[in-house]
Formats: sequence, C-alpha cells, structure tokens
Amino acid sequence: MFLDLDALKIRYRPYPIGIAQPAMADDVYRRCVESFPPLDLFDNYDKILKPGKKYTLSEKENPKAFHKFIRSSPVWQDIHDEIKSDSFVYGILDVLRDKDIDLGPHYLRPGRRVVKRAKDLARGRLSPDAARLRARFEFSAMPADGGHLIPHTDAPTKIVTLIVSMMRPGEWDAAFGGGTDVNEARDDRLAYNHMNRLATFEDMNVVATYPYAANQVVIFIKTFNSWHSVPPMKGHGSTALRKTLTINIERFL
Amino acid sequence: MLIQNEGYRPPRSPQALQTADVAHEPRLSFENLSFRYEPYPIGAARPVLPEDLYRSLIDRYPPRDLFVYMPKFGHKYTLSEKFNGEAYHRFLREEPLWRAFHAWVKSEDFIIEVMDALRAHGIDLGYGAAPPARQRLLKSIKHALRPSQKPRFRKLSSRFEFSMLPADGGSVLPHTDLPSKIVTIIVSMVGEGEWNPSIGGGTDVNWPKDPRTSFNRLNARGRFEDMDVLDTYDFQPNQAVVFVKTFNSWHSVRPMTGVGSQAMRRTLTINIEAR
Repeated sequence: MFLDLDALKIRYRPYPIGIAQPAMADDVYRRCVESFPPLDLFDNYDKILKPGKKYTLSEKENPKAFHKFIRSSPVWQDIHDEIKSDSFVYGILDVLRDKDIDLGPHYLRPGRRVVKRAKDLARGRLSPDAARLRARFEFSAMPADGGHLIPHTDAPTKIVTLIVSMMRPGEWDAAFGGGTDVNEARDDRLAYNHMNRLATFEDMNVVATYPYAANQVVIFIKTFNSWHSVPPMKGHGSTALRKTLTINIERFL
Repeated sequence: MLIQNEGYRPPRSPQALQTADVAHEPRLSFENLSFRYEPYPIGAARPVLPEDLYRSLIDRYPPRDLFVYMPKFGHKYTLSEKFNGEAYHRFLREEPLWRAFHAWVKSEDFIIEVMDALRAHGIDLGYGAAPPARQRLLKSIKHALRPSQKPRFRKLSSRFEFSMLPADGGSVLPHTDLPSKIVTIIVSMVGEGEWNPSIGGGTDVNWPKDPRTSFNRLNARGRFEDMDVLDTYDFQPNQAVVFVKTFNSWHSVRPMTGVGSQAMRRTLTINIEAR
C-alpha cells in the first residue's frame, strides 16, 4: 500500500478519527506533490453550486479532466490503480480492525460474493459482507485566503475518508490555519446527522484540530455524528493553496 | 406489588373483543416522545396506548411456557418469530387483540409513523414511504447499470418479540444491536403500581469505560463492569423507550434484585430493520 498507517493514532470520541505521519515514503510523496494537478483543471465549488470555498478535481465532479490528468501522469496513474484495487480498500479496513474499529465487510472473491448475494436474496436480506466496496479519490485545493469547508458529516454512502496533505515541507504557513476540525454540534437537533445536513461554524464546538502538515493522513469513519470542517483560512492576500488528496471508501452495490 | 405472570387469561371470541377491547385502534402514540441525543438518540414516550387497550394487552400477554430461555443475551426469556416461532404464530392466531396490534406493527404505516416521529425530533434516518413498485424497479435497473452516489433504496421491515426478564436476577448484557437494526422500541407491559422500582429493570444508556470499545457497529457483547451508566429509563407502565441503532448505542438491563420473586419484567420489543 502506498500509505503507511503503522503509526496511526486514533481518537474514538465523539467518533473514530486519527492521524498517521509520515503517510508515505518520502520519495513517493515528493513525486506526488511535484506532479499535483494544476489549478486550471479544477472546478470551483461556487461554479458547481456546492457550499464552501474550495476547488476540486474528481471522477465525480469533472470526470473527463480527472481521467485525462490521471492518464497523463505515471505517478498518479499508479496511485489511482492502487486506490481502485480491492487490496487497498480491504487493507484499510484491516488496519482499522486492528484499531478496534470493525466495520464488518471482509474481502470476498467475486465468485464467493455472487454466491453470498444469491443466498441473501433468497433469504430476503443483504449481509454487510456481500456489499461491494470501492474507493474513489479527488484532488482538492483550498485557497489560503478564505478557503473553508463548512461543517458536515459526509454522505451516508461513505464509510471511511482519508485526507492526505499534499505540500512541500515548509511550504505552508501554520498561521493560515487549514487544519481539519473535529466538531460537536452545540444544538441537540444537529447531534444526529446521518443524512449529512450542512451546518454553520457557529453551530459547532471544536473538539480537536488536526493541523495541516506535510506528509500526513487524517482518517475517519462516517458516523451519525462525524461532524468535521475546515474553518476559513487566514492567509489574506496569499496565493497559497491547501492541497490534499481525499480518498473515500464507499458502499456501492 | 410485583406483577405475576399468572395474570394470563384465555382469549375471547373476536366479536366479544370488538365491543369490549377495540374501542381504540391498537397503535402506539409517539406524541409525548422526548429524546436525549448523547451519546446516541434515545428517548421515551408515556403513555403510548389508551389505558383500557393497554390493560387488555397486558391481560393477554403470552404465558411463560411459550417462551424460550436465552442465556446468550443475559438472563432472559423470549417469544418471537425467530425464537419459538411456531408458538409465537399460534399465539397471534388465537389472540385477536395482539393479532391486530401485530398487523399494525408489520404495516408500512407503522414504519412511516415511526420515521416521521423521529424526523420531528431531528433524527432523519433517510427513509420515507416506499415509492411505487415500478419506480423502485426502474431505480434498481438504473443503479445496476450505473451505480450512483445516492444511497440505494433499502426496504425496511418491522418485527416484534415478547421478552421477559425474571425480577430475580434477570438482565440483558450491554450491547449495541445488530447492524441490520435501525430502530428499537421497548414497550413496558406492566400495570400501574404492579412493579416495584427498587428491583430495577430500567434500560440503561451505557458509555464504555474504555474508549476503544466505543465503536461497536457489529454488536460485540460487553460486560456490566466495563460500562458507565449515563442514564436509566425506569421500567414504567405504558411507556415506550425508543432508540436508534448507532456505532455506539450501548444499552443494557442490569441484573434485577428481586431475590426470590417470581415476577417478570415483561416487554414487547419492536425492531425496525433494513433488509
């Protein structure tokens, strides 16, 4: 696996979230950072009518540009292929299981999955083990000058999210902010948010912050209360970007 | 005074039942539901049934000899579709009042009502009324051809079980419920003044002492000594305790202290599940 999660440290409350650093071998990380896609390939959140101040390049939002870029970059093609593999998806689930976070699905060979699915259908229910999981990723960039992501808990289809920082050491001024906040709703009515309603920063307390730093991965589980956000960054007049690779493992069949 | 299980009376004819008992539709009311949201959504409603109907259901609660003992889950007896299913279905066939109640619990209306009640309290599980069959089929075909980002339609179903815990040591070990469960409703089946609260029998909201065991999506069993008790919903007449299955929905019933008592903590446990 291109990610090294041996040093993963998890906090379990209010929901499981943790960090590993370094997240990648130095040389691989450097090559990924150097070949991070240029901003002109990205879509602006404003343009695609999404809340927050952020740019995205992903197979979901702008698939043509995303796949064209992946094909043009051997480094990212390798990463893409690995992320799309069952060994990556189920490898992450194994790492989490070792940390007492058992999400259930174990890898099943396609043939066994079909048999299990047929048995489930005969019983009239689906077991979690028969679910097909997949991973997808997006390149994200948020301007140091005001970039932000409002509090949310992620869509119900998501299971695990990994946010890999993409910057050269020393490239980012910590005073800008850019950390991922672990939020807790102030109002009881927002405490349960399975369906991923959006909230305002004023609605949230900040329980912890994972500062934006080089070669790290923040990993968390989608739960009913997995509120997180990136508060508006303070790099007024700066052209710096908070660049990340965001990987999602989701259930799709 | 403790409730005794000998209160069971044989069924009457459906005609007699209509005039005497079913003055009200046999359905729960969630009007007085109030929730706590930490560490997971759990609440209680009381009363949930018109008093005369509630009394009739208690009087016709199944007799003890129909139940099976379930040591795996604690010191507990169960009668359900799954455990002793034959006796369960026979009982429902013979008891018009329970049969009517069962039919309502099994209906889509019931599920919609529960989902609406939860939504009214800020708990949106993402389930509404099922779209027409044709639309569902179309959606399934579309999804198979091009898996979308939207959650797939998952059908919900409901079922209920009769549970009895002996006042003398009865318990349910800490657990969070199976991943297939979505909502659990525990309806107390005890007459006014018939249960001595000092015996216990309340449903505890648990909080694991070790944070590493907080995440329990797959429903591993816990031990009482590994849990703190954040809150207790006392075992009270005509009450429903309602909670949502989450990764941390730890709950239990601590061993009751009615030493030597023959009384039973009788409940009806309703589950809404995803298929």
